[in-house]
Amino acid sequence: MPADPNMKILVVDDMSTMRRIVKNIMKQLGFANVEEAENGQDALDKLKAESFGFVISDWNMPVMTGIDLLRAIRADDKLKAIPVLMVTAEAQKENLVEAIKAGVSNYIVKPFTAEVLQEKMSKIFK
Amino acid sequence: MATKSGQLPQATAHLLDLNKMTEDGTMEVMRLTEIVQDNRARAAKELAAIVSTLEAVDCRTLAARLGKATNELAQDEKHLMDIMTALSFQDLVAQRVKKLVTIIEEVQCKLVELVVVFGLKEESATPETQGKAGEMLRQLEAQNPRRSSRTWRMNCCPNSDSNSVLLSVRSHGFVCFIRLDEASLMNQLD
Repeated sequence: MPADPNMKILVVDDMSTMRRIVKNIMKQLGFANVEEAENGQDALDKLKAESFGFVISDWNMPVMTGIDLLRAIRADDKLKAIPVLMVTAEAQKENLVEAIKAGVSNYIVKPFTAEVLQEKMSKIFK
Repeated sequence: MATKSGQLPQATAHLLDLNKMTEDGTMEVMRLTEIVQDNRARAAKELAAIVSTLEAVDCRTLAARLGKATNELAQDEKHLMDIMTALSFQDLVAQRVKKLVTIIEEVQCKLVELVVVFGLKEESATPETQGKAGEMLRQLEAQNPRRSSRTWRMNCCPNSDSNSVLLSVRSHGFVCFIRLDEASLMNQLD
C-alpha cells in the first residue's frame, strides 16, 4: 500500500540538524505532517500519546537508543504495526543483524541522499 | 620528551566549541536554503498558472519560454535538496568530536588518578599552590599517603590561574606537564 501523504511521521534523532534534514526531505517528498523527538524515550512518549504512521529513528542516542526504541515499539500491542526505518552511521553487520532481529522495517546508512530515503520508503510502503 | 598535557581541558573546550560552531553554521545554511525552497515553490506554482493561461489564449511561444524557466526551477529544487542532505556532515563531525571529548576526558581522569596514587612532592611553596586548587591538591595528598617519589617526581610549577595547578611529572626520563583544574580535583575529592 503506498504511503499516505497525510500520515504523521516521527523523526527521532538527538541531533537537531539531522532532524531538520529528514523533516525537509519528507516535506519535499510530499509528507508535511512530521513531528520530532530527540531520543527514544521522548519518541516512545509521543507514540503512546498520538497516532503515527511511520517512524524514522537514529541508532545512537542518549537516554534511549534507537534499537531499544524499536524493541519497545515491537513489544507494545498498540504500536507494533508501525513501520520503523533505522538510520545509522555505523554500517557494521552486527548492528544491522540486531536491528533485523528486533523487527526493523528497513535501514539507511548515513550520510544518505533524498533518493535513497525515498527508495527505502517505497520498499516499506509498497 | 615533553608534552603539554596541561592543555587537555582546553582541548575538550575547543572540541565542544567546534561542535557548536558547526551546528550553528549548518542551521543557518538550512534556514536560508528553506527560504529559497519556499520562494522557489511559490514561483513555480505561479509560473505553472501563467503557462496554463497563456496556452489557453494560444500564446505558445511565451508558454514555451515560461515552461523552460519552470524546468530550470525544478532542477534547482534538486540542487537545494542536495544542499540540505550534504549538511548531514555536521552530524557525522559531531559524533567524532563527542568520541574525541570522551577520550580526552578519560585521559585527563587517568592523569588525575596518577597524581592521587603517587602523591606529590612540592619543591617549594609557591603562590600558585595557595589558591583553591592548591588547597584541594593538599587534601588529595592527605587522603592518599602512599607515595613513590623514587620513580615519580611531581613539582608544582608557576601557573597564572590560581584555580589550577601545573604539575611536571618525571618518570623514566620522561617529563609530562599536567594542568589540574578545580573541576578535576573536585572529582577526586568527592
